[in-house]
Amino acid sequence: MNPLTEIRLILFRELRRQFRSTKGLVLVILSVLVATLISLALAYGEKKQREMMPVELTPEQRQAMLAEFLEKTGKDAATAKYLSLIPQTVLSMWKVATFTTPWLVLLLGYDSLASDVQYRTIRFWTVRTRRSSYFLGKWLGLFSTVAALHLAISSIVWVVSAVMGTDNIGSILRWGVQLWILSLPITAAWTGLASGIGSFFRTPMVALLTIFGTYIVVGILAIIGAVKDIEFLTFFWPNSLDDKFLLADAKHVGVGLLACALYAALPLVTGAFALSKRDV
Amino acid sequence: MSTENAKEPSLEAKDSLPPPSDVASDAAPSTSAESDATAMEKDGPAKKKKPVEYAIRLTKLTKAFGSKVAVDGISLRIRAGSVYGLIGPNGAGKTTTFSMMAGYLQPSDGVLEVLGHAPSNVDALRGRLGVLPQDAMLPATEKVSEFLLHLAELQGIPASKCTDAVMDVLEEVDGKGWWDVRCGGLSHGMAKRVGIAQALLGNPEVVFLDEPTAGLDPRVAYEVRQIIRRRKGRCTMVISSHNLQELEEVCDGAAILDRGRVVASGSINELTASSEEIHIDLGQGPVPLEAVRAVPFVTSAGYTESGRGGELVVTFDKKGADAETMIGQVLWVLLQNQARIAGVSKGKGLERRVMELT
Repeated sequence: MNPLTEIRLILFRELRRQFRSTKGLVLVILSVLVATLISLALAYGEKKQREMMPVELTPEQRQAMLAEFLEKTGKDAATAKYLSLIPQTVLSMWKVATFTTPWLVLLLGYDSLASDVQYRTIRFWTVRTRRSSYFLGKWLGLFSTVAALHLAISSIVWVVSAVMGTDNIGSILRWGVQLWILSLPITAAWTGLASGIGSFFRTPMVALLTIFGTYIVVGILAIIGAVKDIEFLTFFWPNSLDDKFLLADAKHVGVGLLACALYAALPLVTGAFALSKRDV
Repeated sequence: MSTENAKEPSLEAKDSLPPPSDVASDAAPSTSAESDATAMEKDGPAKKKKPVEYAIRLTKLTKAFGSKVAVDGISLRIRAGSVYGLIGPNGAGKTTTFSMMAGYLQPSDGVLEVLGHAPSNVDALRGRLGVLPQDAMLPATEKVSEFLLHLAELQGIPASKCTDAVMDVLEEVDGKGWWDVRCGGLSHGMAKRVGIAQALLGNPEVVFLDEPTAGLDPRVAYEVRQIIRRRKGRCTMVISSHNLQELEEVCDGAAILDRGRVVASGSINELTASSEEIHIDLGQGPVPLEAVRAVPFVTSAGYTESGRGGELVVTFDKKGADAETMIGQVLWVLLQNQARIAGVSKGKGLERRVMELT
C-alpha cells in the first residue's frame, strides 16, 4: 500500500473522529453561534453606514470612495482598488475567522497525537501504517477540520450579507470563496506548527501548554518585527501574512505562500521524523 | 532445552541450533539467516509470502531506558507455526521484549526479525502481523465496526472483503452483536476481545498477544483461551502472560525471562521436564520408595511429606521409556504396595520451574 493511500484512510478516520468528538461538536456549535452574531452585527453596521450617507451611492461610487479612503491609510493605489472591490462584510468576517484560526487549531489539535500516544491507541495503527503516514494523515485531518470550520464561519456572513442585501450574491460568493482559499495556507502553517510540536509529547496537557507557549514566543517575535520594521520577523505569526494575500501583486502572494509552506513544512517534517523514530 | 545463567552470558553462544522438531532455542541465528532476511527485504512484496523456518529471530536484543537496562542481550528463535510463551516476573522484560517485537519500541542494540523483516518495515509485514497490545485503549467514540473496518482497510484487505473479514473475527471472539456498539461502551472483557479481534483480522501469519487474559473473569478468560486454541496451528503465536497454567495449556514452547535475560527456553515438555519426571500425590499410608526405585529406567525417587500425605517425585531415563509408560509402571508398583494415590502429573509444572529459575 502506498503512503498516499495510508494518509487518505487516516485522514477520513480523523475527520470522522474530530466531528464526532464532544470537543469538536462544541467548537463547531460555538463557532457557528459567534459567527452568526458577528455576521449580523457586520451586516447591520454596513447597512446603517449606507443609510447615514447623505445621498444614495451606486456600488461603483462606494468602491471609489473606499479605495480613496484606503489610499489615505497607506495602501498603494492598486491594492486600495483591489480591496475596495471586496464586500466589506465578507472581508471583515474573513479577518475574524483568520484571527480565530490559531486558537481553533490549538483547541482541536493539541491532543491529536499526544492522547493517542498517552493511551497507546497508536499501537493499533503502528503495525498497519507507516508512522509518517499516520502523522501526516492526522495533520491533514486537523487542517481539513479547521479549514471546514473557517468555511462554515465565512459562509454564515455570505448568507447574512446576501439576505440583508449589502452586496450582490455573485460578488459575495466570488470573493468569499477566493478569500477562503487564501486562508488555507495560513491554516496549513498553524496546523503544521501545532501538529509538529504536539507530536513530541505523550501528555495532552503538556502538549497544549507547549503549543500555547510557542504561540506566545512567535507572537512576541512578530510584534518585535512589526515595531522594528523587520518584515522577516512578522512572518513568525502566520496571520500577519494575510496582508500579503490581500495585495494585488502576485509576487507578494508568492512570498506569503512560500512563507506559509516553509512554516508548515518544517515542523511537519521534524514531527514525522521524530514519530517514526520514537518509542510509542 | 537450554538454560542460561544470567551471570554467564557466554553460555548463550554455546547453545546449538535446535533439531527441526524443537519449538525454539535461544541460540544466536547464523549469519546466513541474516543474509536471507536482507535478501528478502530487497525482494520486496512479491516474495513476502516466502515461507520461513523461524517466524521470529531475536539476536542479542537489548533495550535500555537511560541507564536502566530492561532487556539485556536476549537471543531467541521461534519456529513458524508454534505457540510460544514469554514468561517471567514483573520487571523481567517480557513486555519490553514484546513491544520491540511489535515495533512499538526501538531496540537499543541487537537484531530483531519478524518473518525476515524488521518490525518497523510496515509495508513488508502489512497484514502478516497482528498484535494485541496489553494496555492500549480502543478509540472510545468509534463503533466497533468502524474501528475494525478502518484497520482492515489499512491492512490492505480489499474493500469488498473488509466487512466479511471483520464479521469473521467478531464471530470468532463471540462479538457479532457488537457491530454498532461504541468502543467506549464496551466492558473490559468485551474490549479485550475486540483487541484480540483486531489482532486476528485478516488471518495474519504471526500474532502477538500481550497478557490476553489479564483482568478478565474466569469465564471470559476461558473463552479467550479457547480462541487461542482454535487458532493454534494456523499461525505463529507469541503470548506474554503471568498466567503460567494458561501458558502451559496452550504453548508449545516458552522462554523464561528474569531481569532482562533469558534464563531458560525450549519446549514446554523440556521446561517442565515432563518427559523425564513424574509427580504422584499420595495420601497417608505406605510409601514403597525402594520398590519404585527398582522399576526399570527409574533413576531416582524421592518423597516429600506435606500435610496428610506427600508428593513422590520419580525421575527416569527418557531414552528408555516415555512418561506414559513410566506412569503405568510406577502406579502398578504403588498399587501393589497399597499406596493411596491422590493424583498424578507429568513433569514439575511450569509454575514450579519458573519459581526455581527466577
